[in-house]
Formats: sequence, C-alpha cells, structure tokens
Amino acid sequence: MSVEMTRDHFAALYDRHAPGLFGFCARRVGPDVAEDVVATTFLTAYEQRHRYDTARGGALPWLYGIATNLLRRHRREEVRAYRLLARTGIDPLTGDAADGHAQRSDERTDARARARRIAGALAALPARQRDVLLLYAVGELEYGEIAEALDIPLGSVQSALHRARTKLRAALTQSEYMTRETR
Amino acid sequence: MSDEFERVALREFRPELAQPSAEALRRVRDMVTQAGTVPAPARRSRPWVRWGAPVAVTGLVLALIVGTVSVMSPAAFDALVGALPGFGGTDSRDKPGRASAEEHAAAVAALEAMARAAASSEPVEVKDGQLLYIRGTGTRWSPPYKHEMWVDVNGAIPLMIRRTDGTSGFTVGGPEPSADPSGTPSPMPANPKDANYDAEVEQRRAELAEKGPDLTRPTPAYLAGLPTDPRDLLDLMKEQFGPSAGDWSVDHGVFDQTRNLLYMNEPLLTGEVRATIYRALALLPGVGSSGEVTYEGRRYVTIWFTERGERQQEVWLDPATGRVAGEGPLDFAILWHHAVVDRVGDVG
Repeated sequence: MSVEMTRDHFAALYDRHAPGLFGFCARRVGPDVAEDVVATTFLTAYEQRHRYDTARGGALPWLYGIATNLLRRHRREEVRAYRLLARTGIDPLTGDAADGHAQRSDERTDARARARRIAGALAALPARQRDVLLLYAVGELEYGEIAEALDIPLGSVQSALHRARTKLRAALTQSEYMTRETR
Repeated sequence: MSDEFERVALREFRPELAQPSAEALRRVRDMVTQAGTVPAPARRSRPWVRWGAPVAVTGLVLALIVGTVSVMSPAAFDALVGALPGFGGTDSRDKPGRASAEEHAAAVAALEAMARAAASSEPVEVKDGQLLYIRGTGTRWSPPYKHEMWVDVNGAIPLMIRRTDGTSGFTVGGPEPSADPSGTPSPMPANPKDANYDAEVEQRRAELAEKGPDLTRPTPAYLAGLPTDPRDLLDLMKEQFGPSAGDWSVDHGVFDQTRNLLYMNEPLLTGEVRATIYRALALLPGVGSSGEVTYEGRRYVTIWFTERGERQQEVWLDPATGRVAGEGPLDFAILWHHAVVDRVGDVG
C-alpha cells in the first residue's frame, strides 16, 4: 500500500525522525554535512514517497537507508576524521579533545582514550560492517530494519554485525573498559 | 561485561554531536516541508532511470518539483542524485569495483598459481553421520576470537555454533551446555535469540529437500559436479549470488558469497573445482592482491575485492597447498581450520 503523503504527513514524519537521523549523521560526518544529508534524505524520501509501503512497517529503515546511501558520498571524509581522532585525540568534527561530557580529569582521560579506540576501530572496519554496526548501535535499528535499510539479507546483517562488534570489542581492550565499568 | 557493551560505547561516542541544534532542525524542516505542498507524481515505470543517462534532466525535474534545491549545497545536490535509484555513480550495483591494473594482475597471477597448486588435491570423505567441524581463530585479537561450527555437509547446515571471544560467547543448537561431551559445563549461556535453532535446522533441511542443492546449500555431490570452466562457473555464481548482493554490485556478491562457500565447504571441494573457483574469481575486475602477508610465522597470499573505494573482503591462501587458509586484514586476521568429526561437540 503506498502513501499519499500530505504536507502534514511529511511534517510529522520529519518531526518524528529528524532528530535521531541528525544525531546519527552528525556523529559520522559532523553537523554541517549532517544538515545537508538530512535535508537530502527527506527530499529524496518525498520524491520517492510513492515507493513507501506502509505494509512494511515504520519509515525508520526507509529513511536510514537513504541517509546511509548519502553518507557513502562522504565516506573518505568520515574515515579520515576517525583516523585523525585515533591518532591525535583531537576530533576534527568538533575541533576539541574527544572527552565528551566528562567532568573529572580521570574521566576525561578515559573518555579520550576510549574515543580514540572507537575511532580507530571504526576506521578499520569495512564499509558495510561500519554501516551495520552504526545503524544498530547509534540508529538503534533492529536486525530486520537494518536488512531493509541496506537491502541486504538478514543473515548478512547478522554476520556483519557479529564481525564488527567483535572487532570493536577487541579494540576496546578489556582492561580499559572494564576499569571504567567497575569504577 | 554487558553483551550490549559495544552498543553502549558507541552511543557514548561523540555525545556532543548526538543532539542537533533547534535552529538546524527548524532550518531543514522549513526546507523539506515545502516539498509537501506539491502533488505526488503519478507512480510510473522508469526503466530509463536505471541507465542513468538523463541525470541532468532528472536533476532539473527535481529542482522544479521540490523548489528548494537552490538553497542546497552542490555536494548535497550531488548526493541527492546519487540517492535515487540507478544513480549510484561508482557506488552503483551496476558498476562493480575495479582494482588497480597492477593489483588485479597480481591477483590473477596469484590465483592461477593457487589453482595449479590446488588442482591435484582430493576432497575429504565425510561418511554418513559425520560432520564437518569448522573453526575460525583470531589469536591476535584482544581478547582472542574463536568461532566454531559443526556442519551437516548435506546443505552446509550448521548444527551447532559456538563463539568465544574471551569475554562473552554463545552457543546455538546441539546439546544443552550441561551435556557437553567434554563433561565441562559451558560457561556461556545459549543466545536467547537463537532458542529456536533446532527448528531452523529442520527448515533448512526441508528447503534442501524441496528445492535441491545450490551454491548456498550444497551437498558434496553438488560441489563435485560444479562447472570446471571458469566462465561457466562465474555465470552460475552471478546467477545464484547476484540476487543477494543488495545495492552492492553482483561481482561483490559473488566474491562475498564465494568466501562463505569456501569457509563452509572448503575440504569438500575437488581440486579441479577449487582451481576453477580461483580462476572464476580472477575474472572479476574488482579482485586484487597486495602480495603476501606473514602471520604467526607462515606466509599467506592475500586476495581481496574492492568496491566503493575500499577493500571489502580479503581471503588468505596458503601458497604451499593452494588452499584457502583464512581471512584478513592482518589486524583482524582469522585463520580457518576444517576437520571431519563424528559428533556435534567433537573438536578435530
């Protein structure tokens, strides 16, 4: 069943999903590029609205699929930023040391080290594994939604996610993260 | 440590970028909701879109329809075009990846050498009731990675899967952990998501009975009867693996699924079929090689597939035997081990 999407429908779709999509994109390519990507995602979604099938469920995988496709255009910049962060501890997307919202000095040190490890692992992942992992962890999509978003078989999602999670876990060494968890 | 710990770690990554500014949200909302004032175009068949010729025309039409493209950056407009079906540019499934001439030539030479080395190898015999034990090990991982499967060779159906990475793991299928043949209770709980795994095994067996073997659910006899002309085999691979390629190229799907085929069935292949698989892979323009790597004192030949500007898959071959020995890249290498065993849980 296709949707005849009115302006109100489209605005509601935007209000519901844009904040999450913004965050997902901004964490990968920074807020400026994310703004372009999110705008283009919704414009593309509007252009393709006759292809949206309500019988398939929510719009989330549809939108994230378009956004992920658009983000591939910025893959080199994305990976370059991960590598720079991993190497220097300075996040080029924010211009600051990657210590997040940590307040205490030891927490900031931990957060910076952890961000560097995560960035290094993300940079080393094959593109598909990175897409699947970030859709799962940051986009909070379920396996089936990721399969739909990327148009790949469910088994490929599970395989890619398993590999990506294991690599990330390997990068976040047990001692570093366990220390933080038990603090 | 929570099983969700990678998820938590990623959610805490770049937290300052997680929330967009209200101004940015409003700015984009104003832009995109203008699109909603335009009547929906009639659903239409657009076979011409697939071939991508009238990119400029479509861009113009979109600009007229949406009426807001003029405020977008050139990069965003380019991305918009790329997001439409059939306009993927170098990322399109219609445009498979291509390795550099030098790297592709190296892969062709390496695969031919491996084909010659493997040509005389014999398949292992798996008697009725026996299973193929498959283990992938990543000793350089921290913590070390181990993935084990006990596979029914009729249909390449895993009867039990066990993964251990030092901090967590799971087991699906097979006997209950307390009935482990080694007598040692497993410290790893079964993954709740795979609680119905026995039913899944039966479903796969039913599919094999109903549809017969293919490259994703082969039998030893099916593997032995595969084409021994590389182009014929490649055609078969494209036909069977292509539909699962998603929005990646068919070539990518062929390489990806062939890696799976080798992982699940490698010892069952005749030397002739193994050699034909290598020669078929050498026909893919996206296949390349960066020579040899040394891992734990042994040399391996790297063969990878490139697409979208990155190496997507990398398999390692043993130059001494011509057999596939594992997968890269080096930092996350996993060595493969295959053996014939009598029961689920036996380790060969």
